[in-house]
Amino acid sequence: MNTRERHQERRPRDLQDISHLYLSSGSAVADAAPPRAVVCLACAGSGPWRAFAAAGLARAFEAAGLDVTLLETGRALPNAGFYFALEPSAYLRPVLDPRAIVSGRPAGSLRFAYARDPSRLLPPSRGEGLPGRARIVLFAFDRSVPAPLEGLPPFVGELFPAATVPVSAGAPRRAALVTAGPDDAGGWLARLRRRFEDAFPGAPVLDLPLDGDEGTARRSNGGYGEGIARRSPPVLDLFGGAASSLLQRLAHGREDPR
Amino acid sequence: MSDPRLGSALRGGARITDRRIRRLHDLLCEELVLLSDGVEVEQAPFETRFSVEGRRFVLLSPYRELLLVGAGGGSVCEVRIGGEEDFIRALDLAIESFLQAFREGPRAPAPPLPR
Repeated sequence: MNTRERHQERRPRDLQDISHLYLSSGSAVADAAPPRAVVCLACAGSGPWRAFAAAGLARAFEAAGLDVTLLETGRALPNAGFYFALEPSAYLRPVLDPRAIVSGRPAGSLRFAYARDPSRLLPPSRGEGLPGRARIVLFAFDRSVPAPLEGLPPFVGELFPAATVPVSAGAPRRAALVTAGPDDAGGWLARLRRRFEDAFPGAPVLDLPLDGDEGTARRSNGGYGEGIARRSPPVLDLFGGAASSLLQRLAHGREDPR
Repeated sequence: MSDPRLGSALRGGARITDRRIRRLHDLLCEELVLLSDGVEVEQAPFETRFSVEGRRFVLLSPYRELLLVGAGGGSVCEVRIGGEEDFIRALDLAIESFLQAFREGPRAPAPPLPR
């Protein structure tokens, strides 16, 4: 066996090799419908961060071997369609038709839909998705979304009634919240976080430092900002690390350290 | 919308007599202002300038029956708005120009003039 063969044999497993373990049901018999998780991405700041983070995180989950549905809503442009290189006539359609839905399939196991009106978005049906892949729904929104739960549409809770049941030892959490952007204008993110924790006790909460002092420094120093004007999903360690952390915490129910 | 920036931007479209073009002008202004809380609008006698982080990314030049949109800070790409197709192209260019300006970050203040 030569050096290369030995290296390949010892290659550390990456997230794609083991992601299916994190969202398994834990039962010996495969479920008829694959188990799913919902990750809510709430962006407080203005600017392109909502679309940028949504596209980046969706790509990271897809690269980890998951079947991903990205549902995005919010008033400001661009939407993730820009980062998935949709034609302008497609991703900008809601500007001329406020009821329009932008949709696409940027990759075999990544579906995307955007609407300015969140009531136009529907959760994926049980029949969708590639067999054999654990499924995840990423719901991305910002402060402009009008909803009873301040940005958390009812269907998120409807998708996972089990998530509201007190979690027994070993049972995985099925919902997670990711926050991004500075919490300004009355503490929108803080209120949202409290509402989420009430609805999904013990569910993982993660913050993406995209904006604010730290994010601004990274942007101007050619960090995250390098991809912000590019028509392709951002490939950043930030999103890969977030996806990895979320998958582990969803599976093991690790409490968010505060 | 009660955003004062939008009010300032919409004033520039008053000279457009074609209703269809005027509507597209107003729609464009609304979308540009919404790009970021940091977008600034400067109304000049014959044009409206949109900037972010101190960098101009769009220039609107309204005339009686047409609207010219210049996207970019350095080399400007100009689009003549005659209908919705032109509007979409101009808005896409404006978004790209905005993202470039956003990416570059705050423009450093000009050094003081020597005494």
